[in-house]
Amino acid sequence: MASHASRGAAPSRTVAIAVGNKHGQDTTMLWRFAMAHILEREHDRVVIVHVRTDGPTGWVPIVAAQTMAGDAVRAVSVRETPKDCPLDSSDWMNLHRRRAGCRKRCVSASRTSSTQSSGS
Amino acid sequence: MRFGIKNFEHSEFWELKGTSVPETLHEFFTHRVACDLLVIGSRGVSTMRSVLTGSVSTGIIDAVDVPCLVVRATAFVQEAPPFRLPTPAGQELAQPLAHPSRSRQIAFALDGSDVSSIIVTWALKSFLRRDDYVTLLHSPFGLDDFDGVRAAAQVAKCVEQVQLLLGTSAEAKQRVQQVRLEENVEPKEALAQAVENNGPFDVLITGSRGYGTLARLRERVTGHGSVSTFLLQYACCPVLVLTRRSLVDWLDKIPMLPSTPVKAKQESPGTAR
Repeated sequence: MASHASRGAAPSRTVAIAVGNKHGQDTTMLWRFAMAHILEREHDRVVIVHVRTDGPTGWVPIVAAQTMAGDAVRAVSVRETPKDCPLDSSDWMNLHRRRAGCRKRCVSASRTSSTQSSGS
Repeated sequence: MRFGIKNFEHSEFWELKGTSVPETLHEFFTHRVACDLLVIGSRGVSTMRSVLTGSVSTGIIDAVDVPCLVVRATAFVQEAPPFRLPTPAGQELAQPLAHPSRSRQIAFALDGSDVSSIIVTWALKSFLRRDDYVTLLHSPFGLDDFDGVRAAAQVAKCVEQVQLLLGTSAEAKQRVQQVRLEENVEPKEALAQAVENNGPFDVLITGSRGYGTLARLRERVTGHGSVSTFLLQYACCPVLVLTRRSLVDWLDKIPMLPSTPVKAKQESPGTAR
């Protein structure tokens, strides 16, 4: 898929993008900003880092990572991600507006899924 | 856990577990993956709230030895309330620069310190592109060990270095601007105001002396210093903070600008011997 002229060449720079547990650290915003102004596909090695703390919303930025990249993210297998997550829009402004409303649903869904996985 | 990102051949995803985000990231970047730039988000909480509950982004900047680009949500969507200084009567603010294209607008905050003398060199190697517009915001005075002669020489050298990257054509020379900050205002406030007036900038690059949390708190009480912390809260654009710790390798490699003659004699005992 990626037919770069520099395929195989070692990247000259490593850029890490840290995504957090909370909606405030908007992964979509970070990704779009980085894509627009920072990242260079020919030269960069991109490392997305998610620090999962004890908070209950640890899977939310991963879902946002899928959302922000749209079809750019492949082979995602996140067992904590519920299928009916409301974060399905690529429009980050919609995400921004809806985040207050979807937070409660996401948190409750995450708790339910984690409880089920730990119970099984 | 890893996944790939299309169009980026070298990409990976790491999920880390830890009780403290700054400490976990510090461990990760120290022992697992060495990176050149870290992009993080910020909620843009108020000063009081950040003191009470802590700021993750500030904690990360203090903890990791990596240049950190902090993207504040409100700054990115231009929803942040503009930072305004009380303008003296009859004194007009600088006019915004007219940039015809959508190339990146990069601003540097220079204050004559050793860290700020290196951030331009770091950016030339790791951040700037040939089609960027570069604005050097330099302060006519500073704190503590500020040296006016050295600061002026620093700005001149920075302009020379940037011109080497952008090119020597007339069009390239126009893409490098110098903005002298207001003198009668606290440097950090003048800097935030200059960012507001001369932008919009895509990234503001500033140095940091790497003060700890207690030092930041003390400075907030006294009202002086902590320029980077101030900019993280009030600058209307993403801020790239380069701490002294993140530039350790560069401090040894890059020759420093000479100080004024008196200081030069004190700092060069080797030549006297």
